[in-house]
Amino acid sequence: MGALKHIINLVSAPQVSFLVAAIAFFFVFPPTAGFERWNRRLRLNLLWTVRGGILLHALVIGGFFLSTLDPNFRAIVAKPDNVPIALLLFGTLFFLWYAMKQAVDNDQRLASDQKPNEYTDPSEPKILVWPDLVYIELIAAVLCMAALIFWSIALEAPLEQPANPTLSPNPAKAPWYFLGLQEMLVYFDPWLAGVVFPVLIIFGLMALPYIDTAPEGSGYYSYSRRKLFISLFLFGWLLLWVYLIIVGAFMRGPNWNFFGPYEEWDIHKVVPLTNINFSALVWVKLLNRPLPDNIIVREIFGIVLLGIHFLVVPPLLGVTVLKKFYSRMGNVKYAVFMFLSMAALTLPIKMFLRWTINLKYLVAIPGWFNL
Amino acid sequence: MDNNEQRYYDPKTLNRVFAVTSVIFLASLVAMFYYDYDREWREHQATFRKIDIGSARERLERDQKRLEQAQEYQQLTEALSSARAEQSRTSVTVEQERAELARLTKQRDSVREEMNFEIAEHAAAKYKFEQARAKGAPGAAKLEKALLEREQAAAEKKLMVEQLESQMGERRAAIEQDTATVVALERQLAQLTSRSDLLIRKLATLDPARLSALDKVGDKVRDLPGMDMFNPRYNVRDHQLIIDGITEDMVFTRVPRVDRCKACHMGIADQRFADEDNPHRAHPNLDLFLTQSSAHPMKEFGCTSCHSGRGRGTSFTTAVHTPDSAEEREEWEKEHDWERLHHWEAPMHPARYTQAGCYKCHTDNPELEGADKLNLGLAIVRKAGCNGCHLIDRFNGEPKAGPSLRRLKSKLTPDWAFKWIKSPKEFRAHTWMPAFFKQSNNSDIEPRTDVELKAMVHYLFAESEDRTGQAEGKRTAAGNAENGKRLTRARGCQACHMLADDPYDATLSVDAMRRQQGPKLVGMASKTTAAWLYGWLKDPATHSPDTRMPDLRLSDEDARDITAYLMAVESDGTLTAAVPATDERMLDEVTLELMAKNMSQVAAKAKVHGMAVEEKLAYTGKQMTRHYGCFGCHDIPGFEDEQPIGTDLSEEGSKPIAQLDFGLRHDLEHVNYAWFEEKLKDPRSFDHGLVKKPGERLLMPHFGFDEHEREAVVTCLLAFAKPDSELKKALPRTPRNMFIEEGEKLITQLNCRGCHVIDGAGGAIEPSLVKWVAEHPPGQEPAAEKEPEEEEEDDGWGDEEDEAIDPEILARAYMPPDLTGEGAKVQPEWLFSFLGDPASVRPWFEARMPTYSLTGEERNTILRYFSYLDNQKFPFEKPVTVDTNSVEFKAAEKMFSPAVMNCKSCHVVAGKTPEGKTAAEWAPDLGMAKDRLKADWTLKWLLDPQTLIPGTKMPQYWPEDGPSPLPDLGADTLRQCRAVRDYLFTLEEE
Repeated sequence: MGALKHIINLVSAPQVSFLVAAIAFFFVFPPTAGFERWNRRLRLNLLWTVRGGILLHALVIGGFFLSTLDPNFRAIVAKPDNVPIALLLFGTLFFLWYAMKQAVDNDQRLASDQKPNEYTDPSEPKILVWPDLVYIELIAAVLCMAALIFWSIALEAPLEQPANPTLSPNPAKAPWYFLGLQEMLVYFDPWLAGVVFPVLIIFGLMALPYIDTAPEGSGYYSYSRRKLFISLFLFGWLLLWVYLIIVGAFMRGPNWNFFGPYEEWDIHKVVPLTNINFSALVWVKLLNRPLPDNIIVREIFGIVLLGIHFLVVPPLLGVTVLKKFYSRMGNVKYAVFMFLSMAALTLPIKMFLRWTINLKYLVAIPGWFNL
Repeated sequence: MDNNEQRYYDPKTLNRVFAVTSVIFLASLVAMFYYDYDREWREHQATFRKIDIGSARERLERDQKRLEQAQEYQQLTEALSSARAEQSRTSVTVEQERAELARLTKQRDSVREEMNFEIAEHAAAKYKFEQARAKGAPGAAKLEKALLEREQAAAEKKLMVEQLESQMGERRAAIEQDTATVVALERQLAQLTSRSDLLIRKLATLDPARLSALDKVGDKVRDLPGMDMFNPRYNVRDHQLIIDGITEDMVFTRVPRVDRCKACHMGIADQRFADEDNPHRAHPNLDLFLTQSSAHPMKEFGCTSCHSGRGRGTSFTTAVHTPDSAEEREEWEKEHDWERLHHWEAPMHPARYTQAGCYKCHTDNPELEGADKLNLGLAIVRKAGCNGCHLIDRFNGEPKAGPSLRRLKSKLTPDWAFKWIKSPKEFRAHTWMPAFFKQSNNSDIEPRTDVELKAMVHYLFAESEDRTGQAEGKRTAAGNAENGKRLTRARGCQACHMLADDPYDATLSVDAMRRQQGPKLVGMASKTTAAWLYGWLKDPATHSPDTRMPDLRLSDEDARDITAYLMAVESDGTLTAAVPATDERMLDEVTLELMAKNMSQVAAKAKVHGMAVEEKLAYTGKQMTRHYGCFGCHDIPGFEDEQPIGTDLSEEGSKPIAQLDFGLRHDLEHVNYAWFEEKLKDPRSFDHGLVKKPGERLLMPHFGFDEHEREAVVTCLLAFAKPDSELKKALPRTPRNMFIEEGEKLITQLNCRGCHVIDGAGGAIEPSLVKWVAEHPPGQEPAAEKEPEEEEEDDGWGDEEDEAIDPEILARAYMPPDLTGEGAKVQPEWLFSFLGDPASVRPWFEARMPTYSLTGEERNTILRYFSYLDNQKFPFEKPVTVDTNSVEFKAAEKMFSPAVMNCKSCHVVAGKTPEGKTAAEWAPDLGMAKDRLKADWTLKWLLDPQTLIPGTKMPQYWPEDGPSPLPDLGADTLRQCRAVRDYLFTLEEE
């Protein structure tokens, strides 16, 4: 058991878990037909059936409660302010599964030339309100009240000491919905992680429906009709947001060190944190020369790489792999889409570089721009 | 319309779901009420009510038994019943009068009501008329007429009321007259039964057995869940204290301090509940706390001002109680579902550290009455020199705890110093010098620490001034050790030093610590030379200008004898450590390591290479002396302006727990006092298991405190908390308080209480004195050999039967004077010059007040201290002028004579000693009175010596009440006393 916990601790480290999750993600939520074939071959589509759902929930919830037998795990998840976050994650799982189940159901119906579940006769549009809707709304309201009352009895308000400007808690954590951003601060300069990326991620996710304006799949759940955009959306949502919240809430302990789920939050834990700028890497290590004094010259390699990332790769993809997509989208939509995608990609790329080559900043112009 | 039966859901199913949902919701509401109602205080208040009823019943029963047995009560009841019988015989008239009174009252009420209407109408009419006249309205005249009518009507009614009331008065007087006897008797009886009546009234609202059926129902209903929002019997509101003027600090703001502790601790301020179990028990010290007459009334201070904890909490856990032991913790967890609320910054102190709370206000009293543990802790902190390494605000400016090492060379040998520092307790088990070496985190690097120690000793001796040969020239011959032993006892050495056969108490006390002001005087021979010791005894300042050892003004012969004795007393332990040869390789290593702190490794290497061994020792010695912070306690050349090396402890008690490094110790509870306890138990234990270079290891030395001492010190550490400005103001910084505080500091430094009782505390020498007197009864020794101590006073004696007296009482006669009330007693000028040159008040005693080299300012500090302590007008006294031709003077002369009071039979007068008495029985020279004593005090002293100095042998000539036994001056006690006092003030010293 100890060994298993140890392995889980090791595997949960973002270096491993993020990579695994990022790769597995595209098999579970295939963005292209090729991935979709793999998805079927691996039978991952069965996750979105009732049985698959039961299995999925049993694994996650069962694993969670089994883990609470571990005192270190329990100490963190059972903190009154963490309980709602845990509940929220279960909720995310359930609704994700439910939406996917409906989408997959519809895909099957469509494949066999049936109408989707949500289909209504356009000539007779109606929604049953009384008593159906009103009644279940009442039931839901009463249940919510009861749940809140029981909850407030069982868990006292997680009040802490009076706020004191001279004493910051360790770890100092943002509200849970910002923990993803706080996690990004590990890898990025504050104004990128705190301002630019959140704006890009939120607006990017919001913009997706306006980029993909195809009429298929509109008005009902469907996956395969718009797999690319759903997959990209979920990537941004699940990996760049929810995953980072999980890490930030449950696995970042004192001094913002990473702690596995069964690891004790030891305030004395020490991890080597020496990082190196890309400029030093190229000039000193590869070219074996001192760093140039001129900042632009010094950072030129990073700037060039960044230029390639944003200005060269998208057109290149447009004329090769994404040729069809490009012609469907047109110039403007394609450009917006690629800008958002490449910006979103910098996050995992940077994380990956940090873990592999201890990269501090690709471009480091202190006071101006650090990436 | 039901034809369209298209449905998403089956209505029946929905109904069922809704039914289940409703039941769940109902259950949640019931649970909500239940948990809101289920409070500990409710249960405690119900239990307390039972206890209260029981106690009231018991008292009522007792009181009624008392009444039954009281003759007066029997007589009164009988008298009352017969008076009542008498009255009922005449009852016809009384009844008629009463009926008439009732009729009149009814009539008056009705007329008065009419009168009130008229008055109101009149006021309205007046307003209308005034307005009309002011505006010049045409109807004004008519309105004026209406006004006058109203006035008339009101006056008439008023008159009628008055008439009726006067008739009523007549009736009342008549009734009173008829019932006078009965009422008077009833009143008498009521006085007798007032206690019972009170109890009955109390029980009437409290005791279910005395409630009416309806009240019984109400008693239950008012506390039912849901009903208890109106006027419940059991509540918190009635028991909470909102403390005026002492608020709580919430960082950004201060909020009122609201203490709800009494909601459970209902009997806390009532002595009657002293034997109940918690939470109903009374406070253990109601004389000092909570009661209105105590120094800390509950309404002014509340509970949490002293105890900390969360006053607003109404459950066991949320009040933030703190268990005193692991067992108590377990018990609480089981019984009260207790858990530690980490987020409350000021939890209650565990019971054993309660006295830390006193320090919130009483930061400046060196000794606080009733806070023994805190006092002991503060004394230990001072004595152990904690403030040498740790800044502690209140100890700023205190002298260093250890002796000066500037003139070490003439006293010790380097080898002895090495062995001593390495393990001081081997030499003196109770020494206050702590152990730095052979500790749990450095015994593995002994070769290195030996080199460090060697280097330090080298440095100390190299820097030391050599005084050998000074002040010892006159030591011509060896002394008499036997006489030396006697002298050490007789001269009062035991006020500050333990001697060979003095036992240590099982537990340390502040008083015991006064006797440890200096080291235990054993094993001198293995430590120093007779020459040094002789010189030291003759004049301590030669060897250490700042020493606290005073000059005892010893004759050469006495000093020689004492030297001989002290050199002969063996130590109770021996230093076993061997002094190794200097390990040069290790020395190089250490020197290099130290050197490399200030320069590059390469440069340091080169430099060390070029140094001689001596140089390396000197360099390393100085660095290590700094490293270990030796200068914190000792005056060491080269470290005059050094800053203390330790953590600032001024606010240690408020330090967030995260700042206390528990290292790898997971066995300790994560609370500050557990950390402090462990730190004192094994100061290095938080290093265990960590990889640390020698120079990085924890340094705090081991003091070898036992549990009792650790508790006292931890109490202090918890007390050293962030100051609360409001609580600080509880004790105002008046000149009186500040002068007394300043004086106390100096008196503590000089250890005056080693000999004297001052302000009710001190006189630590007494046990040694009792022992000495028991072993050497005064009768058997030559007269010149008695034992009192220093300084002034008339503690008494004069009477003959000394031999048979219990040594304890006899010792009191030999005790140094009790200085309580000294400010009222002696003249400031005298005290000032006495402190500079303490010529003994009883020069014929061996024990004497030693000479302290006090500056004028220090002497004034002591003067001010005594004066303010006794609320004296400071500083000067009007001299007493005496007319030697007056009747009073002649009478006094007569009273003073052998024929009457015979003062000379005990008192020395102008150098002439009393005849036929041993020196032990002589009383001070009356010739000194004029310059020394205050006139008011002397008068009081003559009138009633025992009140001023309990146990004095000075007889009381004038009885407290009743006429004077002497016929002179009209047998007027006060006049006679005044005359004797004035006469005394004319006597001259030799």
